[in-house]
Amino acid sequence: MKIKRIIIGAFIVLTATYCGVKKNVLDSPEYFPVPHYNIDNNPISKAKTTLGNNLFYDPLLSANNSISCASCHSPHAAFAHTDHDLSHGIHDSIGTRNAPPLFNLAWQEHFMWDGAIDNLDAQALAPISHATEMGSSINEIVGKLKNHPKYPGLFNDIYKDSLITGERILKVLAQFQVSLISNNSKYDQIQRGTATFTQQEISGYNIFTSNCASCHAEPLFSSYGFANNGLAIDSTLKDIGRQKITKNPMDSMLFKIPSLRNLAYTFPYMHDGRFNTLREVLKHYTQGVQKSPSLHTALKNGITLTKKEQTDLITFLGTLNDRLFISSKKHQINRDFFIKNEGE
Amino acid sequence: MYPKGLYSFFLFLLCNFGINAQKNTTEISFQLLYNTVPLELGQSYPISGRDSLKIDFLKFYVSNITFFKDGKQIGKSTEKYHLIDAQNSSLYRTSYTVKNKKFDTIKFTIGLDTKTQKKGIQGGVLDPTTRMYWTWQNGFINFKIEGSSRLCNTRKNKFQFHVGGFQEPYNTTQVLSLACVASKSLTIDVDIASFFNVVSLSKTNTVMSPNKNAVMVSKVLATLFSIHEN
Repeated sequence: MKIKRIIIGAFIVLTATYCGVKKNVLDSPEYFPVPHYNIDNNPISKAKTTLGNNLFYDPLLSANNSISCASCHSPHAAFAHTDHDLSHGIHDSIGTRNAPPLFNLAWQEHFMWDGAIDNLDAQALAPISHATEMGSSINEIVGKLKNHPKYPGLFNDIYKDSLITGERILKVLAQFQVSLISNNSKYDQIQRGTATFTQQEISGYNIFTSNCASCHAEPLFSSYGFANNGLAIDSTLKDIGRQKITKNPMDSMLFKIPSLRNLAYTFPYMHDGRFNTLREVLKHYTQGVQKSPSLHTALKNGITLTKKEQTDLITFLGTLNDRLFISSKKHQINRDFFIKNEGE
Repeated sequence: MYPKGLYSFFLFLLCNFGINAQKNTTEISFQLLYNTVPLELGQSYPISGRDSLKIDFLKFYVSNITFFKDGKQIGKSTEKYHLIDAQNSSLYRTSYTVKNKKFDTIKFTIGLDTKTQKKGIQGGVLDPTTRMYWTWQNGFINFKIEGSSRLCNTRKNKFQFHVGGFQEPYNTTQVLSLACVASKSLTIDVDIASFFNVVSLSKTNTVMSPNKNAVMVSKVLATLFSIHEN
């Protein structure tokens, strides 16, 4: 009986340990919610993240080996495309939307500005296949990787066979992307009790909570839902946003709500990059909101902010910039992998 | 340590099950046809008098094949998904174990169910290299036909039917029940000619996203399936 009890005890301890490990596998702080991304479908490993990193920076993913994911999602821009209102892809073709930053993706249910894709593993298929982004296909990439001097070995290290499939490529890419966690801004340090807000930041935080937080909820600073924030439709792009996907007129001009983290690195702002500065963004919210049936309820009565309040708010938003995240070596290009390649 | 007899017992059970499985195997085939003749890709088929059409690509999913007797489910496929590709052969074969073979209805899904669709990227016949996963939005294409006909006022006279979408109101996944006589092998005919008799290529030739047209086309596609009469 005693042995039986010991076995049961050991089983409980092991299970608890296993669950504990599983829970923290994304290395996220306690004040973050439960991630949406299902790790069970793509168990995390360092080897996968590293391989995903190599693929992310490899222009081999595009039809003429010129464009990598990082071309439009560079680490110093919190994986957005700084200074480009619309991103440009293969053959210098210009896209129709602003490349969104990539961080805290495991907490997001929908991807793309219109939420066309709700599966992170599948997301990469879109830029890979798009004629103005990478102009390639997953089949083409499988072919290139199979004949590559290094990749088959790396897949073999992970999967114990050198088979390269679409599923494996996409899951490895997703694995690198979920590793992009931004949780080291001043705001995060304050959550951990290692820093404090200045008076002006507190004032800005209060303005934020009463005017912005319904869409840009803490601690991710987005609900990652969709909203029409009163932007006039761009006559050259005629982008109706979420309605294109749902075909529902009430989704006209709804776009995915972006996070307010890392704004210092991710300008220009909005789905079409129409605003270059946060001042312009606040001018829109206080003076430029266009009324329409699908306008978000929080904006129906307008937002009023004095110049000083706007300055305080922008100061608070500065506490959401995560310098450690954008400078972290582990998210950057693995130069050795590519340099040695060229010598071969 | 277990007594030796127990191993023998398990071995006996295993063998017994194996024999039974063999005895109750039913082979299901999907036969791709064009006007009752096996379909050939790239072949020119006459349509509406003077015109013709060519099919270059035809792939579709069949999933969740189940067997019924008097309205009660008596068997289910172990292999959940089948990708039928005209490129491989016009005849697709798969085998199932059905208890006593006494079924009177076969039920299957044309396309993939919502749960599978929502799961996103998967391997095997669901791998995105099959060209059956949308690249610009969620989910799988359930049924894909591409080809050309002068009836199509499109670039290079192409027609492209990428029929997919699993979210209401544009759910294109069709579940079909066909009455049949139980036997060791059962052939389901899929006659593509009927599709072009119903869908007029001059009017409908490009369906690439989940919408009303896709739902309409998916309903037409479901009518192409019938039990082969011996």
